[in-house]
Amino acid sequence: MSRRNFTFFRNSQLLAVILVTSFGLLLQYRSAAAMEPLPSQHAVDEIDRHLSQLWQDLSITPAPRCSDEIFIRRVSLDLLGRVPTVAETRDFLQDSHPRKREQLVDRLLMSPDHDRQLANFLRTVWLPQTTGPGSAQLAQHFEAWFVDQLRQGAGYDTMVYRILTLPANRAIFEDRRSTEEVASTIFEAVSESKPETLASNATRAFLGLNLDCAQCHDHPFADWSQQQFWEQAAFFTRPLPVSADQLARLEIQVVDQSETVVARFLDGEAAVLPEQHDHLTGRRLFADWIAARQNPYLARNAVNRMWARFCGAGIIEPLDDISSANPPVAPHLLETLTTAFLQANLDLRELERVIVLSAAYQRSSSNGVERTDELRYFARHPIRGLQGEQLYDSLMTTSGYSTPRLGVDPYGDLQRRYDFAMRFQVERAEQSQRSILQALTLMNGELVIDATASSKSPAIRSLSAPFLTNEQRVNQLFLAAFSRYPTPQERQHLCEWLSDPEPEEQQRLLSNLFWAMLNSAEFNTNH
Amino acid sequence: MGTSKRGWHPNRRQWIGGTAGVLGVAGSRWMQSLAAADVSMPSRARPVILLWMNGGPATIDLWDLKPGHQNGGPFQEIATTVPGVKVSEHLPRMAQWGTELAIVRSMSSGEGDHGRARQYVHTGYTPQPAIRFPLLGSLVAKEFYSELSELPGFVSITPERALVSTGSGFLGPKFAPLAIGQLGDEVSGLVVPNIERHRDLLDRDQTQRLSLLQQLNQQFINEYQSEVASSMRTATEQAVRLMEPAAADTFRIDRESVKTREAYGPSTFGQGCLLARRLVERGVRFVEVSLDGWDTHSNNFERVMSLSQVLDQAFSALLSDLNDRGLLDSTLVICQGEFGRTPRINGNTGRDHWPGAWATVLAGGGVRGGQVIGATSEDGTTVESEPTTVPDLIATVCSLLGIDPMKQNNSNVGRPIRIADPDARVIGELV
Repeated sequence: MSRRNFTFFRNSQLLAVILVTSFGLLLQYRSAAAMEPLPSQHAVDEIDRHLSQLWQDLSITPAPRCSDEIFIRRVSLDLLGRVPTVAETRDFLQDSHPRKREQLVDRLLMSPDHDRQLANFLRTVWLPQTTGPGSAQLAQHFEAWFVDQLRQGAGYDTMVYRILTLPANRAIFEDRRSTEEVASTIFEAVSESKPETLASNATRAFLGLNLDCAQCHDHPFADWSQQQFWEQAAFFTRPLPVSADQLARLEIQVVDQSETVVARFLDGEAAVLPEQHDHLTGRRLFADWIAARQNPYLARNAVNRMWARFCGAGIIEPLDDISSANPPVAPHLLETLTTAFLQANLDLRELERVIVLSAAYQRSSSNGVERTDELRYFARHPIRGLQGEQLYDSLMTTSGYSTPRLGVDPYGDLQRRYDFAMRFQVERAEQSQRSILQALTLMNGELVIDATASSKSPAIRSLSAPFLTNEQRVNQLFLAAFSRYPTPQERQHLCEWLSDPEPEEQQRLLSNLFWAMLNSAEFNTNH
Repeated sequence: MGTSKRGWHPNRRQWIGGTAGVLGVAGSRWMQSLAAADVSMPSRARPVILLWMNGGPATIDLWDLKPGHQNGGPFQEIATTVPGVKVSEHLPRMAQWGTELAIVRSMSSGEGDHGRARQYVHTGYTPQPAIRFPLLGSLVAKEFYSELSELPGFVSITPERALVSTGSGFLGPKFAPLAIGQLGDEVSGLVVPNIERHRDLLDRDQTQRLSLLQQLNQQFINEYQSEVASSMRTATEQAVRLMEPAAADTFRIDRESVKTREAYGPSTFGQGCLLARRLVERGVRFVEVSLDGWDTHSNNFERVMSLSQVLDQAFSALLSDLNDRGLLDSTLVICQGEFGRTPRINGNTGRDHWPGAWATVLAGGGVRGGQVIGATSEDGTTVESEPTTVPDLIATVCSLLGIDPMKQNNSNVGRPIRIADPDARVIGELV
C-alpha cells in the first residue's frame, strides 16, 4: 500500500484525533515507511532455514517437494480459488525455466481472480457471519469493497481501520452507497450494533484475541479480565456527558451488573478523548489503536491466519486465541513472517508470495499414513477439502465455463454461486467432512449433471473432434479435472475402454468418466 | 457386467493395483452393506423425535393453563387420563395420552431473541460468535454413528434454514441433518433433494459411473490417506446407499395406507410426523419435525387454537402409531419451541416473547409419564418450583439415550466441549 494514502485519509478525517493520541505513532510510521522492504526471497530463505532446523531438532523427515502438476493445481486453488485451465497447466508443465514457480506465482498474484479469492478469504475471517441464508448481498458488498480497496493499493492496516470506522448513520448510508460505507456498515450489521459484540468481533478478527469468555468472567485460559472486555466495548459507545462543562469519557455499563467501566486500550493505556469529538470518536480511537503497525497483534494475527490458510494449521492454534497460553509451534517462523509483512508495508500480496514460495508450502501431501507431527510442524502438506466457492469455480473452469465475476456478471450468476458455496461451506479445509446431502448434490444435482452431459458440457463437446485420438481425449480430461496427465496405466486402460467406433457411444463413455472424475476425492481436494 | 464390453474386464482390475472385488457396483462393498445394515446396526433402542414448535409456542395456552387469572385468556382446561393433570381444551386427543406424558412446566432461559433462543434450545449453549455448537440431533447422531447404516443419523423435516446451516457445527458435515424440505413447504416438499439420479441416465450409465468413481477414489486414497479424502468417499457411499430403492423408499410416505395418512392429518407437519415414524422405524436416531407459526404477537388465541388442532392430531397419531408398532417405549418424543410467551395479553390480543417460564413435553422412550414437573406462579410469569434449564433437559435426554452428557467433543476452537453444559443436572423424576 502507499503510505501517502494512509496519511491523506487520516489528515482529512482525523486530524484532531491524531494530534492528541497518535503523534508518536505517526513518527514511527514514517520511520517504518522509510525502511527498504526486504526482498521476499530473503524472507523465504529464512523461513526455509528455520523450518529445516526445526525438523532436524524434532527428528522429522520432511516430505519431498511436490511435482509441478501438484504445485500449479495447489497454488491456483489457493491464489485464484479455482483449478488451472488445461492451457494454463500445459503451459506451466512445458515451461523449462528454473524459476517458473516464482514466475507463476507472480502472474497469479496480479490476476483479478486473485483479488476476489483474497476478498472471499478475508470475509470468512473478518465477517464469518456473512455465510448463511440471506447474507448473499452483504457478502458480495464486502467482497466488492475489498477488491476495490486492494486495487487502490490499500494496505492491510488501512483496510482494517476503514472497516472499523462507521459512517455517520444509517440514513447517510442509504443515500450514499459508496462501497466503502457499505462495507463499514456490514461490520456493524453482523455485530448486531452492540458495543460488546463489536468489541469481541473486532479483537477476534483483527488481533486474533479471544475476549468472549471475558464477557461474563475473567478469561480462564488467557490473560484477559472481564474488566478489559468491557473497556473495549466502551469504545463503541457515544462519549458522555453531552454537556460541555464536564470532562468527556467513553463509558459502558457491564451487562447484568451495576458497575460501569471506562474505555481503556488492552495494553493498559487510558483512552483520551480529544476536545472535539462526536459519537464515532470512540471507534476511531479504537481503530487507530487496533490498526497501528506497532500493535504487536495486528500483523501477527494476519500472518498466522494466512499461514493457516495455505499450510493447513496456524503457527498458533486456536487461530482466534493468540495468548501466552498458546505458544507458537515455530516462533522463528512467526517472527520472520511478521517482520517481512511489516517491511512490505502490510501488503497482503507480498505475504502470500512469501508463504507460497516457501519450501513448506511446496511439500508433497502424498503419504503412506497420515502423521500428525509431520502436519503440525509443516513437514508435509495437508490434504484440504475445497471451500464452497473453490468447488463451484473449479467445476465451472473444469467443464469449460467462465467463473462469475463481481460487478460484471448478472446478479443471478453470483447468487447461484453463493447458494452453492453455502451448501458446501467448510470451516477448516484441512478438517472438512462431506455430508450425504452434499454428495447427493454433486452426484445428481443439475450443476454436475449439466457440466458432464455430452449435449451441454463444453469440455465433453470439445472432445468430439474426429481428429483427436483417444489418448488425447483422456489427457484432456485428466488435465481439466486433475491438472495432471494420466499415469501410463490409467492411460492404457482408459484408451482401451474408450475404443468404440460409434461417436455417440464414445461421448456417453466420456461423459460417464468425466462425471466420476468430478465426484472423486481427487477433484474435491486440494492436495 | 464384469465381462461385458463396457464393463471393466477382469484384467482391468490391475488398473487400481490389484484390488479385487470392485468390479461392477452390484458386487461392491457399498451395495452389500445395505443388506447387512439391519443386522449390524447398533441397538435400535430410543431414537428421538423432536417436534419443534417454531416461533415460540404459548405453552400457557397448551400445557400450563391459568384459568380464572386475567393472564389465562379464554381457553379452558380439560382433564387427561391422569387425575390432576390438565391440558388445553384444544388438545383433546393428547389428553387421552396423559399416562405417557411428562410435562415440564418449569423451563426458563435468558434468550428472548428467536435466532439466539433457537440456537440455545437446540444446542444447549448460549450462542458465541466463534464456536459452532452442534445441534442436539447431530450430537446424538455422532454417538450412534455407524458407517454401515444405510440411513443418516439425523433427519430434519421442514427445518428453519438457519438451523440447517448451524447443523452439526464443529462435529463436521458427517453428522449434519439431512434436511427434507423447509419451513412453509407443502406436503409435496417432503422429499430428499437430488436423491434420484438424472432421468436421462440409463442403468448401465449409472453402474459405470459408480464403478469408475469407486476406482478413482480407491486409487487416490491409497496415495493420499487423510480423513478429508476418506470422508468424501464415505459420504458418496452413504449417498449411493440412500439412493437404493429400499432406503429411498423409507422417505416415501405415499407407501402408507390412506387410513394411516389420514390419521396424522393433512398438514405438512402431520405428514412429517408420519415420515418421522417411518424413519425411526428404519433406524434413524434423531428426527426433528418443525411446525411453524407460533410467533403469535397478535391474535394469539385464534392462531394457537388452529395450531393446537394440527399438533393435537399429529402428536396423538404419532404416539398411537408408535404404540401400535411396539415402538413407543423405545422412542423418545419431545415437543418444544424456543421459548414461551408473555402471560400478559397485549393490546393486539397477542402474546410476546417470554423465555422466563415455559413448558416442554416429553413422551415415550422410557420417560416416566403421567406427571407434571415444576410449576409456574399463579400469573404464569415465573417458575416457582423445580427450575429447569435447557442444559438440564439436554443432559436428561442424553441419560435417557444412554449417552454420558459430560462426554467431550473436540470443537473448532481447539478446546473440548461437553455434550451438555457442565452445570447441567439430570431431571431425576423423568428417568
